[in-house]
Amino acid sequence: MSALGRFGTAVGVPVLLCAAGLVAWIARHGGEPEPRARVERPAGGGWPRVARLSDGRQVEIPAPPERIVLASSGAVDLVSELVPPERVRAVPEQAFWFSRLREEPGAFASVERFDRFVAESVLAFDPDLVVCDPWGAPQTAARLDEAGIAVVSLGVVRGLDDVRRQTELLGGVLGVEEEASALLAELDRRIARLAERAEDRARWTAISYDNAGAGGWTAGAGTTVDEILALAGLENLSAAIGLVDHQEIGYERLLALDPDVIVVAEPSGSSFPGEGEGELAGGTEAFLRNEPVLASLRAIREDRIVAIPVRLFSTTSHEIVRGAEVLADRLDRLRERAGATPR
Amino acid sequence: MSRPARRLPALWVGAALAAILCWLLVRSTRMGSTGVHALGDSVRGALAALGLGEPLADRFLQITVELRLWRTLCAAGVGAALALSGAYLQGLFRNGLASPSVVGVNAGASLGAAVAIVLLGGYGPQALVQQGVGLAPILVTACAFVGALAVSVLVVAIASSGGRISVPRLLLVGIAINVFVSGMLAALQSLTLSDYRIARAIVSWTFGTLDDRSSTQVAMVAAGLAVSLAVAPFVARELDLYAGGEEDAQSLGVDVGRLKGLALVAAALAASTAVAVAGQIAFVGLVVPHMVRIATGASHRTLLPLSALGGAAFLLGTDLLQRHLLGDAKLQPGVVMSLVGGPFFLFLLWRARRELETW
Repeated sequence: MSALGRFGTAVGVPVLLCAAGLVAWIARHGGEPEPRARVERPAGGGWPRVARLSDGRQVEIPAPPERIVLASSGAVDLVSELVPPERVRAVPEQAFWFSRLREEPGAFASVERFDRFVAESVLAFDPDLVVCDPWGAPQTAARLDEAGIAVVSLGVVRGLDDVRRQTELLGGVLGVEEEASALLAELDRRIARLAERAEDRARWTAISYDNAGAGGWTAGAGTTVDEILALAGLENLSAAIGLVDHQEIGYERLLALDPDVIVVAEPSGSSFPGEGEGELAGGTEAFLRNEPVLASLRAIREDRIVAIPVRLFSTTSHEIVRGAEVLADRLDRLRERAGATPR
Repeated sequence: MSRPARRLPALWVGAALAAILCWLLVRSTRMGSTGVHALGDSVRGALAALGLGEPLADRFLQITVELRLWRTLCAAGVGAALALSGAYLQGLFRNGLASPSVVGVNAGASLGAAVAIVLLGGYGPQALVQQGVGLAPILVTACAFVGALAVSVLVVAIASSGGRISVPRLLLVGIAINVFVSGMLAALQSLTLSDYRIARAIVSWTFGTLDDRSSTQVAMVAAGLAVSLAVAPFVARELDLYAGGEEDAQSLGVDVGRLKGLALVAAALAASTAVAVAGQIAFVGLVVPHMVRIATGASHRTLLPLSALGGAAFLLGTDLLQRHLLGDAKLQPGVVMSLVGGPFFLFLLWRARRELETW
């Protein structure tokens, strides 16, 4: 081997080993729980306040924010329930596809919109607070932070407990603790009503399934979809067999599970939000109904594929409860149509 | 005077590869995500799936045997097709680094698949989506095939002048078209980034997959492979003569234009069907012909068929090994081949350094 080759091997092998070690460390530590976010108030509950976030940062908020920029659909869902549109400077365009503003834009329809979450665009709105997701462009959040803008990054949402914590956090950050408490109380009432209806409904088994033409995915334990299925009174078979997070699932396993119900998302694309949806072609349901190998699945033979709007399928906010309500309604209609439970 | 490299008899290598492949086929058909089937059940179920016997009484067992059989045959067929395509192209370009991606197959297939995925997601004119809904399980493969073939034809057409294909121009045009098509794919991904399900599906397809393949996809790969293999006897000797240079080959009576055309068609067809069915699986088309060349020599009369055999065993064996080692925490075949193929290729280059004068 030449000198160059020996040098390359001497440098390259340790680099590759370090990279492998880093990957293994990420795999080992990536799922560890985040520290709990909280808001520290001065005595008497006034201002300024300090938000200690789950990403370890501290953000000082000198006064109730009045020029809020929201950078994710999850943030839009929550904040639009807590404050009037006059306090919101801008929302992302995608919020009108993937948040509650799709069906209920209300006065938020006139709030300014932006396409991409980049620092320059956001700074143009002169915000005093930016609320974003943990995975949404961390470089942008860092540049805004350096520019002196208070940036509150919401934590990862895996279920209702995370939603409650985020709601309390935002209540403190925005100075709307009463509204936040009222929202949580209303959620509890809706959850209680769902639980009553779930007892009337036999405990069907179900899985969520998503196939956009490149393999099937299902939601296991620790996902918002799992929470939706549980609230609607369904037993999530993917979680029952030990799957965690979103995992790929092949036809063989799907056939072995043979759930009573398959929950899918409606096709993402549609007429422009607000113009009504109607019957949409495409999507996972089309895939399931046209795949001959899966024709023996009970959920397909007995027409128990239930589609819920895609924004509820992928929500990271209190809209989890809305997702469960929509699912429960459609399951009840299935039951009435069938006249009997599957087992 | 240097010692000539030791070569193994091609017949022995072929017999060994065939035996290994047979063992892998049986083993892979028995393994799956719900356990290992008994040998008898797997054989009877497989024969029934091929129309050579009665189906098993247990319907679930029959279906799972069929799923595993189609996966196994796809893996073997895709590996064979990619390796054969690589052997053709390395002979045509007279360059050991040539692979199917050079003529734009991977980029075209990825773009076609992405368009189909977006269409299935409901985007686009609803009338067009309605047309595609009934084809949902095969739509992505069909669009990927059309994309792969269309881009390959475009590359060859642009690289041709006066009916003659210029190999250096083919390489340069291939690079340019690859970049452009990759840009179109990136644009599509960028526009659908906010829809995580579509974005995930497009990225996932590029990793390659052998899961849940159908008999239609197996037939597609088999057809592409069969046509490509059928061309081999007509070009093998000519490719050997062409290795000494285009002018030398012409002076020895080789119709160079016909040779280039046939080899390109065979390579593009094999690679297009393979990539359309299984996504992007790198390195098989690059590494396997090298392995065969080192073992048995550079004669295309043995290199072409043995590359096909070796590619089938290589991809199927790698897939089986990673499923055995990693279980359900599996990696996609494209990922595995990149992780395995890179270092393995370095090893081959090091072993053959005196011949290749690379070290």
